[in-house]
Amino acid sequence: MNTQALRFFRCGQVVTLSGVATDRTLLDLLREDLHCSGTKEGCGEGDCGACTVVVGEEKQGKLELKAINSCIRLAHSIDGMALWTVEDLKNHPAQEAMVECHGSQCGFCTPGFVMSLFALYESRASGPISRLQAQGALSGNLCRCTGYRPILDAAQAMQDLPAMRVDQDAVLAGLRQLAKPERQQANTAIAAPDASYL
Amino acid sequence: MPATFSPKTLKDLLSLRAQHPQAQLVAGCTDVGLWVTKMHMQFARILDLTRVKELRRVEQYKHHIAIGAAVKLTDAFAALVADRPQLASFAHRFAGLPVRNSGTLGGNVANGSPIGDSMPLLIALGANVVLMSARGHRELKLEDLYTGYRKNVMAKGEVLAWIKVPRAAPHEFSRVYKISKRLEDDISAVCLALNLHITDGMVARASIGVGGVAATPVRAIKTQAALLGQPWNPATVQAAAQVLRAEFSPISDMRASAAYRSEVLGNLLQRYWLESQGAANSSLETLVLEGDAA
Repeated sequence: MNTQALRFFRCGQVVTLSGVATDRTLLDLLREDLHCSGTKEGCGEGDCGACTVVVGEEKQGKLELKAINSCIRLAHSIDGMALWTVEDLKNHPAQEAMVECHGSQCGFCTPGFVMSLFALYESRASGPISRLQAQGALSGNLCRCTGYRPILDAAQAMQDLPAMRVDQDAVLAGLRQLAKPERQQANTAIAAPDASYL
Repeated sequence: MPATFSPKTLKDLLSLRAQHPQAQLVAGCTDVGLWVTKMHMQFARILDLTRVKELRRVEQYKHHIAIGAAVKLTDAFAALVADRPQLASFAHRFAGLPVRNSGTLGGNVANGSPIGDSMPLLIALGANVVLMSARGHRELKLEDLYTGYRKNVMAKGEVLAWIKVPRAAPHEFSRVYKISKRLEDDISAVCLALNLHITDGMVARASIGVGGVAATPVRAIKTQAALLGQPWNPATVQAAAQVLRAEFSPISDMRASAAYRSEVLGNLLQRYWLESQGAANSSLETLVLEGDAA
């Protein structure tokens, strides 16, 4: 068992986990320890993207969100970061657009596509998303059913739905609290602003 | 006691590396992660360098760019593409976005896979690596790092800290070609990077890196010699393509046969020649299927 606690910020709360093995993958931590089975295991080698989650870090005073493969990422590597999994998105435009555009068939790859779309959504201030940008954002997600066209449609359609943005200030405050030495931490959750909080 | 070490300074990293030479050093873990999921390897001690603040930087100098070992591939390629815009599509094809968001350029180089795509490019661009330890540092040509299949000259306690990439020169014509079965998210059968300086119609400098043809990423020394000092014309290209096809003894595997690998290397040199003459439609990458590409 690892002696260091693993701490990250998720859904407005600091999550503190102890005893996570050094070589535990983030995917196993999510599915087997935290029972969040929305994130899927496909290839287990960073090719298919079914396991995609989004991590957030502070970069030059701003929150930067990135889609990553949780299957080959060590759980301890997200210590001090913010984390979003598909369970944390509630009727997000990325999800709504996937439904409207028929972007999901068997559904196994869908959580991964949704998380890549969520990262794309958050990385763009405004303006339309081009087909090429959508292809770039989804370059790490494989789908055997749809032929991709409806998913690319969804990527372009999500910007037209009612906006739903991450509360950057709240997440940054959470990340800064995580950065403080552990003994200064309040062991309770940071107040989540409201239900629409991502 | 099992532990994950995540030092925040270079000094702490080097001292931990000296104290725990058995600890598995990791950066983005996009390959080491497979050792866990596919080979079921277990690591009691992990030394993660991605929090080291000095190594998270891309530093711009007059003659080179220095990329720290903790810089993600996304950011490392952004810096390389800023200096050489023609590398944009290669950066995109290097791996799917989630892998580029975790993996590092330093990890790709240190891992030393013969089909790692950054090394042929970095060899052609004349990059150096800086190895650091608690005892000091040394700098060597990137190709001199490798001694065999996934083997390198790094001593116990040494860490690959920086990659130094010379800036684009006015007379250089540099291109990198990746041959894989799938355009995105795939592994190279062959990767060829060429960096020639053509002055007054003559090849004044030739620097060529190749992947997928030997146990390590390699420099095409014989082909460079066949080009250097020659007039830049079809006859030179044809002769050099023959040298390039014969220079290595690649293996056959599920990605390509040995014969294909050798043949395609020469063909890529022909593509490079055409592009140097202004040909625009020399590869599938220039085709855009969707009307709405803007």
